[in-house]
Amino acid sequence: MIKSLFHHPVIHRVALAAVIYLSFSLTITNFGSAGNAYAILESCALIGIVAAGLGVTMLAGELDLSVGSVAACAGIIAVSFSHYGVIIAVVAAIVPAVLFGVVQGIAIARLQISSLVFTLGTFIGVRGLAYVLTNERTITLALSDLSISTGLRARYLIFSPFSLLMIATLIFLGLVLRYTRLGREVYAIGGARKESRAAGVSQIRPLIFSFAVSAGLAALAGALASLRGGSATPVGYETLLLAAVTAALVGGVSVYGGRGSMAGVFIGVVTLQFLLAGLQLLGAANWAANLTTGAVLLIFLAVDIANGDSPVGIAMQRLKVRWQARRRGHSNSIARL
Amino acid sequence: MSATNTVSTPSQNPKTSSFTQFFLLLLGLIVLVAVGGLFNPVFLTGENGLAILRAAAMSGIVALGATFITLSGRFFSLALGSTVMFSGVTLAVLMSLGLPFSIAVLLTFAIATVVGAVQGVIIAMGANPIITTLGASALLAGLAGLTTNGVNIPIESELVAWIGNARLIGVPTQTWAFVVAIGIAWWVINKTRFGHETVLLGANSASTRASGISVARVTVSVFIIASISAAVVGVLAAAQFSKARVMGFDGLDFDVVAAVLIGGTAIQGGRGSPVQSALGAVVIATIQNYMLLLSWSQGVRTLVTGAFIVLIVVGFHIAGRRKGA
Repeated sequence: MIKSLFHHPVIHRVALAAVIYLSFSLTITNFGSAGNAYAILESCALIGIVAAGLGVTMLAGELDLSVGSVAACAGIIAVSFSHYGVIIAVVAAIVPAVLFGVVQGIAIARLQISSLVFTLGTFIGVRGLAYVLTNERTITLALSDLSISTGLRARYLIFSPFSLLMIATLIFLGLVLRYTRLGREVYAIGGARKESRAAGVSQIRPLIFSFAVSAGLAALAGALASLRGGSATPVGYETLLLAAVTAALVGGVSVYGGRGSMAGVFIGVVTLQFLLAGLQLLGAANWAANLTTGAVLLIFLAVDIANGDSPVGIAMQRLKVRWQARRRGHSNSIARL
Repeated sequence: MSATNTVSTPSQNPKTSSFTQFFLLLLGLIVLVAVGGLFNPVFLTGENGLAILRAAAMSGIVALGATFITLSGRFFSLALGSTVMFSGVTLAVLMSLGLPFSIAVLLTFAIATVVGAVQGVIIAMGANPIITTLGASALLAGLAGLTTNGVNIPIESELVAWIGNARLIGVPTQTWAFVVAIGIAWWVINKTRFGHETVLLGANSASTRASGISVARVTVSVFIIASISAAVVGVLAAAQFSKARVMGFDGLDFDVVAAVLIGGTAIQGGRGSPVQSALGAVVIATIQNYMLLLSWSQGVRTLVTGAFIVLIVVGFHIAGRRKGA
C-alpha cells in the first residue's frame, strides 16, 4: 500500500515541487517568507483556473487553444461591466464564454474535426474580437470601482479571494471528474475513444462539457485577473495558453488523454510558479520567464512522451516489463537455490 | 521504379479537384482585385501591386515551408514566427561580431536547421506538434531575449541594405526570392522522392510505415524545411530594415496558417501543394492590403482572418466527408 503510494505520479511531482521550494528558500532570501507564499499563490490563481479547464480538454484527448483569447475577451467584458458590481461583471463575462464553449464543443464533436485545428481558428478569431470590442485600446476600471481591485487582493494568511477561488475550483472540478458520470465519460473518451464508443459512452456530451468548462473557466480567470489588475487590454493573456499547457503537463496531465488529475494540475501550477518566482526574486529579465516556461514545457513533454501512447512510450513500457520479468526470474532462481 | 509509381498514386487521384481548386482561388483573387480596383483606384496601381507582392513574399515563403509540415500530416508549427525573429537576431549578432555576411548567413541557416531538427525529432517521437512548437516558440523568444536583452540590433552593411531594398528590373528582391522559393518547393514536392514520401505520409501514415519509409526522417525533414524557409524570411526582414527586430512577428504564424488553408491544403495532410499556399499568401496579402486601404483596424483584420480559417476548415471538412460517404 505504502509502496504503491510512492509509485504514484502525483507523489513524484509533489516531491519535485517540494525540492524546488526548499532549495529556493535556502538559497534566495525572502523566498520562503509568508509574503512571498501569498505572492506565489496570487500569481498561481490565474494560470491555475485556466489550466484546470484546459486540463479537462486534455483529459478528453483534445486541446483548447482558444483559452488565452477567451480570457482576454472576458477581461474586457468584466471591466466594462464593473459598475454593476463584481458578481454581475464576472457573470456577464462567463455566460457568453460558456455559450461559445458549448458551440465549439458541439462543432468539434459533431463534425469530428481535430480540436487543434478548429480552436486554432477560434484562437485567432476571438483575439480579433477582443481588438474590436475595445477599439484596440486598453480599458481601465473607473476610479469609483477600484475597491473591487483591492477587494480581490485582500490577504487572509497566505490566501486571497482569488487564490481561494482557484483552490475551490480545482477541488470541485476534481470531484466532478472523479465521482460523476460525466467526469468518468471525459476520462473514458480521452483514454480509449474507440473502446468507449463500443461501450456506449456518448461521444458528444463529454466533449461539449469539456469545451464549455475550459471556455468558462478561462473567462472566469480572465475576468477576475483583469478586475484585480484594474485594466483589460486586447493584447493581454498572450502567454496564458503556454503557461496553462505547461502547468498541466508538469502536473502529469497527459496530452494523449485519459491520464491526469486536478490535484496534479495544482502541483503543476505551483511548481511552475516556484520556478518563475525564484527567477523574479533573482532579478532575471522578463525574457527569462519565456525561456524557462518553454524549456520546462519541452522537458515535461518528453516525460509525457516516455509515459504515453507514443512509439517511444510503448518501447519504454516493453523494456520495463522485460526488465521486471528478468528481475523476477533472477530472484526466483535465487529462491530455488 | 515501381516504388516511385506507388508513391505518386495517392496524389494522382485528387489532382483534378486540386486543379479546379487552384483556378477557383485564382478566379477569386482576380475578382477581389477587380472589385478592389472599382472602389479604390489606388488599389490597382502597379506600386500597390508590388507592395502586396512584397508583403505576400514574407508570409508566402514561410507558408511554402509550412505546407510541407501540413502535407505530412503534422498540422502546423506555431514556432515559425519566432524562428523568423530568431534568425534575424542570429544574423545581426553574428555580423556584429565581425563575421562577413556570407558566413553569417550560412551559420544562421545552420542554426535554423538545428532548431527545426530538434522540433522534428521531438514530434517524430510522438509528441503533439502544436504543443511542441508552442514550447519551442517560447524558448526561441527567450533565447533571443537572452542574446539581445530585448533591443533591436542594427546591421551596418551596404550589402545587407542592398539585399533588403534593391529592385531588380523594378521588382523588389523579396519578390524574386518568393518566385525562386515557389519554384524550388514545386520541384521538391512533385519531382523528388522525398516530396512524394511527404505526401504519402500525410495521406496514409500506416502504409508509409509498411512500405519501409522512415517516418521519423520525413518528419524531421519537413520541420527542417519549414525552419529554413523561416530563416530566409528572417534574413530578408532583417535586411529590409538593416536591423534585427525582436518584436512584430506575432501575427506571422496566423497568416501562414491562413495561407496554407486558403490554398486548399488538407489539414489532415496528404492533399495540397506549396504552390497553392503561395497563392493563398497572395490572397491574404491582397485582402489585408485592401482592408488597410479601407483603413480597417488591426482587430477587424485579425477577426476576419480567424473567421476565414474556421469557415475554410469546416467547409473543407464537410465537403471531404460528403465525398467520402
